[in-house]
Amino acid sequence: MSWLFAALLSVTVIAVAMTCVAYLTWIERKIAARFQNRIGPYFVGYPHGWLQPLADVAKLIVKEDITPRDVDRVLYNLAPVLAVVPALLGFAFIPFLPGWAVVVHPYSMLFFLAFASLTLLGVFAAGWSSNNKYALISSLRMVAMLVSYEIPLLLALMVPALMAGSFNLVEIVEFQRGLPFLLYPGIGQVSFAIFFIATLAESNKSPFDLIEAESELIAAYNVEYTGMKFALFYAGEYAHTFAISGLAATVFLGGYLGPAFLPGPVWLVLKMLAVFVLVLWVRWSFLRLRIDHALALNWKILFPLSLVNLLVAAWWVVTRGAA
Amino acid sequence: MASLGSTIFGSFNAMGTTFRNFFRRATTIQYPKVQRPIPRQWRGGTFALTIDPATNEENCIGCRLCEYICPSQIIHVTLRKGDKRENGVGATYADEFTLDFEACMQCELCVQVCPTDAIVMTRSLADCTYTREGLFLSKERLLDHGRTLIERPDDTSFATGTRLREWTAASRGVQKGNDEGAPA
Repeated sequence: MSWLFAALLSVTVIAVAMTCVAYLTWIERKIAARFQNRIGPYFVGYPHGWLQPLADVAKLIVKEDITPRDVDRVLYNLAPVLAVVPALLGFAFIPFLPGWAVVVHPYSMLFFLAFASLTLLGVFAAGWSSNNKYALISSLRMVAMLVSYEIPLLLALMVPALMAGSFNLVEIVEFQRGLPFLLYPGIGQVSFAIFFIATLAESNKSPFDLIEAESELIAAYNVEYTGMKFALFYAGEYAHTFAISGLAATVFLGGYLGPAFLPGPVWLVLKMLAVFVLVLWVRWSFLRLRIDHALALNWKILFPLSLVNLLVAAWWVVTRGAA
Repeated sequence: MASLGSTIFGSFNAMGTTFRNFFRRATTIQYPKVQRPIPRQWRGGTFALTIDPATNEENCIGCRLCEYICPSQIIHVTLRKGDKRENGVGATYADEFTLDFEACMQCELCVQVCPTDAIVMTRSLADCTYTREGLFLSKERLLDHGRTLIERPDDTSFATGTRLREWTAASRGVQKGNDEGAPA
């Protein structure tokens, strides 16, 4: 019956994740409004716009779906799906309790990262098939950013994997049991900082949202999309950010571990939300970097720093024999 | 590397600024439900021709001063001689009085020159319409606004011809009460 369990769990996870993604837009709008001394959504769902996401979804569904004449139809229609599915697949590997993940696998962290990177495919397919120079440039920027920032991201994630001696997310969480908040002494914080910056760059959040630089590129790779397909890209983006927040919460913040007055999954979701709010905080605090500055930051600072950090972590593991 | 340090410092500084603003009160309001009080000397409203509440007669004497001073040339008045008013304001009337609010630039000069405080601006947010005709204020509409001003005195703008002339006279050092045109 383990397949039935996995199926039920996956349906639950997808339903919860998609609802979360819808409400993340509401959270983002409310928090963005607070950062700008505004109120944000208010009237739809009276006290504080609780029903705004539902209204948005209803609106997007009834919107006209335009397919431009000169697009590559197959890729054009496939791209929104390609953008959402890998992001949702990421949730499959996050353990909600020991053994409570949709996919329990000894290399779950690697699988997660592989699927997280696949989001790129949808974006690039959209940019390429749209037959629009702005969309194409935007998706090329996305590729440049992702190829660059993937390296410090992976090197930063190698540190917890190295210390826990495993790529299994459950084991990495269990390794953090008894460790002080925000992980391993010294090395972990640097690793988390690198990971966080690289995450911002990978999920195209400000200050690295170069792919949607309105002044240069109109909007982004999704210029030619309308209605629900357009919304799927947004859902994919939020799902991706939330999944990466889940990875950060699992690998660095102790995942489902927490004081016993709340159950493990609640702790995990709270930590994910905390990371998400941190992303928003950064987003509304900084200006967009120029593309060469963004790449220089990666190659000149983050990449060497993450290498040094990994070496220090390896030295720590060897001397302490933690693995 | 000095620039790297200042970059990091600046980053935390920026995040501190947004953090402080996060806990500040919202400066926006939910407009249709909550409305800010309109300032006393508000000059953004629409126009009204006032009516003397005692005798229920219009104050306009059709002198056409507002028509002459209007920089946008949107006021048109035709004069009619008639019987003397009960309140003794005068024996002339505006037969037609039209104000094309569409081109009005809210300079308030017409209010300033009006000898009988007949034309005033209202202290309400300007009416929005979907047509150009909706912004064309005929005499009937202006008098309608005047009747609502009797019911809601709070909507009357502070500025009337008399008050504005007193202000400008005071700032020029002219003694009060010099102005012959102002009614008692």
